[in-house]
Amino acid sequence: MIAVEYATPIIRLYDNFIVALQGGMSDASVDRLRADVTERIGNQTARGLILDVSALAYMDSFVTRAVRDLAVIARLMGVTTVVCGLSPEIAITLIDMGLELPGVMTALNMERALEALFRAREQDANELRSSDAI
Amino acid sequence: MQADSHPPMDPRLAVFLKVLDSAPLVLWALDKNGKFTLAEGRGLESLGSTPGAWVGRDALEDWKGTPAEDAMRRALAGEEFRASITVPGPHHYDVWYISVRDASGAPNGMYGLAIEVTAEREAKTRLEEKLALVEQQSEKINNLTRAINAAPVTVWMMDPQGKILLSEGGVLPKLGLKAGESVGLNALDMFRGTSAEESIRQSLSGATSSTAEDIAPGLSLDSWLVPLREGDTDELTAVLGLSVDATERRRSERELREKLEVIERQASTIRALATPIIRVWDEVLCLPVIGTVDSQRTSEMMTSLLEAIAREQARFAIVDLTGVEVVDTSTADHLIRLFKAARVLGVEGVLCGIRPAVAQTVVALGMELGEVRTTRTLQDALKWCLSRRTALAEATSARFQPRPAG
Repeated sequence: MIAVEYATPIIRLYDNFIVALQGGMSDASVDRLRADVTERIGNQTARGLILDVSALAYMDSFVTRAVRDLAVIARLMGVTTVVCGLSPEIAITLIDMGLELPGVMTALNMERALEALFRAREQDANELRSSDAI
Repeated sequence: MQADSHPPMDPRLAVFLKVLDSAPLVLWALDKNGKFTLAEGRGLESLGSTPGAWVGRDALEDWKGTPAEDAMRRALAGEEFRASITVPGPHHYDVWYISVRDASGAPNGMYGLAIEVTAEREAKTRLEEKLALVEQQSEKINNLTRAINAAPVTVWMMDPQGKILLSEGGVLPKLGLKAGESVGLNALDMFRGTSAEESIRQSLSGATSSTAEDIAPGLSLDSWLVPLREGDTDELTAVLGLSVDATERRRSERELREKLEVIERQASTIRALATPIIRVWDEVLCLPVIGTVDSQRTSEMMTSLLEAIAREQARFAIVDLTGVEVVDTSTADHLIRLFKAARVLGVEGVLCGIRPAVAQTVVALGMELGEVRTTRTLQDALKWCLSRRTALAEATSARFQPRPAG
């Protein structure tokens, strides 16, 4: 019997990628998601990445690491990442385990994640303008 | 007395001699000085002698220091009596001492007839020992029964048909019975329709059962029913039951449970009171902390604040420490964790109202509260939240100009 693996959809909205992580993902599909997202960032122009984890009942260290890796990879490729939809239980667990997603922006929900991305972009633009002025 | 063979033997004498030769008897005679003049009988064998062997010996010297010496002296003094004599071996004898007197009536020797009763005496001793044992055991049983009748228990027994064979115990009066009163009645009939009937049936079918039942209003019994079997066979001979009055225990258990429930309710009320979360403005939550903060409470504070953040979709969380006089390392640690978790949720935290003593402690302990935004008063914290909120809203909505894809 062949295990059916559903690829996680990667939605492109304006110039942001939106990925909603699914509950019950196997390690293999997490790896595949990481490869897919990296590839899409490389192929298509994008400036922001939102990882929505609200569908996850829990986050183990593997998924946490994958999320952080994706954020670092995306930043290296010039894409700002926001993780959104963490539940209080997952937040407490992450803190207790010492997995604090350092260097990753977080937001309470998708809407605020989009807002945060726009704000970050605006800030970049301002910095550019001020450096031009110099 | 002399064995005279000249005249024809009296047939009665022949019978006596025959009896002496075959029965465990010793027949002897002493002269007035205590010398044997006759010693006959089969009984001499067990004394290590043979008929006639002792004749001429001094009996008082041979038996010196034994009960036999005293008896013989009494007989030589003219007394006639019967005695039970035990000589070393041990051999037990029933002995008749007969005094012999001369023509003037003065004591002149004695006759003795001893019948060995060692076997009978031993049997009797054994019997007496057994009787003593039986008496001891019956005493023990009496004491046990007395104890059982005084204690809040009942011990009972029934035959395979359910007929009660034994019924003792101090619980019985509570059932309206006297000890032994229900003997002969059928237990199944007595308890028909009560909760005890099922366990009685089970035990009669051969299963060991233990139950805890309310047998009557205000009377709870813990019971054990043990089927007794005949030797190796599986055949049920009787069922032994032991019941203990558990009314008091059951009642105190119930009371304890009720008290625990009250305490639990109160504790949850106190917990709820300890972590009141106030929505002070749109998207701004405030948690005023009052009194001592231990790790249990901080962990509850953390959970309820984070849940409130998710529920209210807040952007800012203010923790007000105005009411906290003292903090320790673990409290400060928990606060830092609380702010980290809030940040992971995407919420900005503000700490306000830190008292001088608390601030000194935090510095003295070397705690890193540097990452946490702090203000002096709750008012300042709220002011900061509001201006930050406005700034965010402006930054987002005023310049929200999504570019088309491509």
